[in-house]
Amino acid sequence: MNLAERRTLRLRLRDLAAASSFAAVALSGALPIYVSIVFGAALFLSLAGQRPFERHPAWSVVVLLGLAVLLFGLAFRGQLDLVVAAVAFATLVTGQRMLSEPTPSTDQQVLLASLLLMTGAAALSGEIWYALCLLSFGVFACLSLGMTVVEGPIERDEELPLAPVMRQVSIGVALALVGGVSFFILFPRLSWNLASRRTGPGLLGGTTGMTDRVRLGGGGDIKTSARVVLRAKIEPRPTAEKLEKYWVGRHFDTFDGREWRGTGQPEEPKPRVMLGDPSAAIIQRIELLPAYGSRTLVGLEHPVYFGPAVALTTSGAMPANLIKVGSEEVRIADDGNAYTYTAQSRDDAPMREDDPQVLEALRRLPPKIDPRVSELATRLAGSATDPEQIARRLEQWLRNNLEYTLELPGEVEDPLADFLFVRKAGHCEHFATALAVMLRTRGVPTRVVGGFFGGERVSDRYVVRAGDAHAWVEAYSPARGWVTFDATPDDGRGSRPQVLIAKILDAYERLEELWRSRVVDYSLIDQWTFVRELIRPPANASRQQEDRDERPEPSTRTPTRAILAALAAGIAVWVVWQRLTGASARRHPAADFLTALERRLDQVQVRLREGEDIERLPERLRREHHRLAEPVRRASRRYLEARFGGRPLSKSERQALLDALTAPRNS
Amino acid sequence: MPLINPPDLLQRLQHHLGLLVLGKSEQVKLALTSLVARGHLLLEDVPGVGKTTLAEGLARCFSMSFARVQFTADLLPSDILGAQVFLQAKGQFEFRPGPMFHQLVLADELNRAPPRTQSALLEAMSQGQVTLDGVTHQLPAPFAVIATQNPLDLAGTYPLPDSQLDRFLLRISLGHLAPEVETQLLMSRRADPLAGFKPLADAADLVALQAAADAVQISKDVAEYAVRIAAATRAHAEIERGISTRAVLSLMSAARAIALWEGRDFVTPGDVKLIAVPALSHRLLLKSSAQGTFARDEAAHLVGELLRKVPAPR
Repeated sequence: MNLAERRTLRLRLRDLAAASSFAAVALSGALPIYVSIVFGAALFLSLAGQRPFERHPAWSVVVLLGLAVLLFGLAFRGQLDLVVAAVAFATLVTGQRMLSEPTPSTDQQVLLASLLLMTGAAALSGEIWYALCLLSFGVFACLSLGMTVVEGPIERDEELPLAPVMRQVSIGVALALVGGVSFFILFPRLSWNLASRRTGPGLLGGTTGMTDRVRLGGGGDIKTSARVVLRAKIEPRPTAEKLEKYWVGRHFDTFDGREWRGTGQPEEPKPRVMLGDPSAAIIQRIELLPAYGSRTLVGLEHPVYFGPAVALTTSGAMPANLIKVGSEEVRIADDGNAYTYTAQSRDDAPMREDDPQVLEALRRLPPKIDPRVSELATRLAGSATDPEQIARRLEQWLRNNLEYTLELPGEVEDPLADFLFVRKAGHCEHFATALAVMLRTRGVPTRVVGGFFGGERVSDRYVVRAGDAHAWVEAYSPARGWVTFDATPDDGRGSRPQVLIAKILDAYERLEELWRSRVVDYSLIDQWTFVRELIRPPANASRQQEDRDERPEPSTRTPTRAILAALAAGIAVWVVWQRLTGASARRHPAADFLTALERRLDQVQVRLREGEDIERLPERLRREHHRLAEPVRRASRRYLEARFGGRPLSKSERQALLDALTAPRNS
Repeated sequence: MPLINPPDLLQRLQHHLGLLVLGKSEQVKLALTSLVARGHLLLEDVPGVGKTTLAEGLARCFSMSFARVQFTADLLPSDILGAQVFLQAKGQFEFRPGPMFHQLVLADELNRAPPRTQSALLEAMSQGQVTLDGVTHQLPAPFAVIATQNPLDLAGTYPLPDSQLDRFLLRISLGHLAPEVETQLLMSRRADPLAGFKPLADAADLVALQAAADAVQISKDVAEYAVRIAAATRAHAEIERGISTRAVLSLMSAARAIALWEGRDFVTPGDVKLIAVPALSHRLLLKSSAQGTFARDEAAHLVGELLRKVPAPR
């Protein structure tokens, strides 16, 4: 390949490296859109071979300086994050360099600026996408630099055989990557990410509707979202593939005609929250995944206890405190990407509420309410007086007479009346609201519950997807306490994900979790745990033990696994070393003699000169009338015979030849 | 075949020739090596440094028949190979062998002859036979050509094509004498130095030496070393065209002959190093357009550089 083609290839590789680092920054979503547009244009021009700044280097620098002042002015005034401003400027510098005269030093500047971008992106996001960008940046940048290096000794019009060069460079890149990964795994990790400004929930964002208020109206695609938001190990272990249970998130007590909200006051943070009697409870070990995007704890109906929680933050796993907010919810006090905690629930003993003031508040109707709602409730309740019976009737009617739909475009004045009398269709929040408000018109205290319905077994755990988000009603019966009613027709409960998308998303979630646990949140403690488990595997590493989440008892067995791993690592290192050094793998037996001979010569102060070898040495010694000329000649001769003449050297002969060099002068 | 002791005979021959060609023991050694390796020798040097003396001395040493051909611009192939001559008495044509039909032929100023004549000579060199009018005449054995070239005086010459340079096993140059040697020469030299020069061996001894050289072994490592050197010449930035496989073969046969000097029956990397410059430098086509002495020095320099770069087996 000739000069022009080589140059084009080198610049393409460089531009791709820059594009990779830009992608890492852009995917964090923090970069101002105009910077993205400018860089995109620069990339396009550069790939098209247009370099307008080649002729006007001074002007581009002036423009760049102006932009720098602008960006840092924005940062100074607090309108732009300082890191974002720096990254934006690095992006612009990269673009400017890409459009300048394409010399090797410009290439290096582009790659250096891209490296800065990569660093900035690490501070902005730690997503798995970042890993991919980092990988492709590494590969492209190495190849581009390799081309630059190869370029050096080549004449202008000389043809360059691309395939062998690229093969060598690629081997180098692969080795560098392997080395980087080994370094990452083996080198003790320090908590380096002090910036701690990573966005939590991944590329797709937090997806649940778990907010502190529920606003009626609008539809959404949440029902089809298959992202896993929660994973739970349940003890005792249920047998069902589909759990079909309510997972309680939070309660809402106040409705203003448009939206539900909670009015409870947060209590002091503490490590555990007890909501009821936890005896004979179902124990759940729950992980809230980054896709959950909220700090509200979730538990199977009815949660009685939330246990010690651990927040997975950028600097490792931290114990987190819990805050109880009225009787609405329990949430985690500290910010993190994901959380794990223990919840205990009892489905047999409903909770009771004794405070009449609280119950009174739960009968409160919105200030403006369509009179038809109350009429309908009265008509439907008929003769029933028991709150549970009324609720059952209303629930049945709503289920049987109204449609479930997610297509609810536009905002309406009174969503409840619209749902009940105009469209006669809505989603779970509408059904829950209708039931709750109608019951309140009948004097039954109610509250709306936000959470999930479902749970699907994946290996030994149950997963809950964003599409499982649901809302239902709890009505208070003086006889039985809080009773759950769900007015939503059966087809509106649970998620309805498309199977293929669910599978793809599952794979993505798994990958992302691996990335988080093994890379982003991989800490010194994890390394230590890994090593410890290697050395002393749990005595009984069976499934049950893992399920019970007990700390494995230190075993006294011999660390077979550790020995095997060390052996395997040793062999791997040896093989690689042999491959790299090459020659020594086929070491000739006589070569050892040569090594010994040279060492002996060194001892007796006979040194080889520059460019001289053992074959030429005797000749010089003879000319110099050196006292060792003759023994050296014999040794050299014998070495050559053994090495190239096919006459092997016996041990005793070898020793004799060596000894002759140190023997007294007169012998 | 006579029983010979190769290192001893070679040392004696070198010493003997050293009496004739003063102060050039290295070149004498290489010239003898070339003969032992069944090669042809290219002497590239300015006139008057003893090229002819060396050639004729070599022939005398081995009691070989010797002919000298002065190559000129009007020299024809038949002038060197021989021709069919009509014999009046017998009434038929008869082949008259030319000077080529000697055991050692000195082709003086080879590059002065036109290409046609050059190639006639070169065919004889490579085939060891001459074909004229459809009849093939075997050349005497052992047979060797020593050609000389004047590297400076290039006017009116036909430089040898690379393919033909390739047929010479070694290229050496004698160079001027050291002052003290020159003084000694002036004081001791009689009318004709060759007049009293006695043979030391005969052609059969040379054949025996050649057979001994054939028996020298080459280990795989040394062969790989030679191949690495060849590959390095092909990859070098300043070399337009590296050496051919024939050139590597020549290098190894010269190395075999060199090994005999040490009485070895195997080739060492040192042998290859020793012979590489005279065996390879004339076969390289350089990128620079330098000619004459300068190109020669540059090529020798490049080969030396490669020898330093290419790691020898140890």
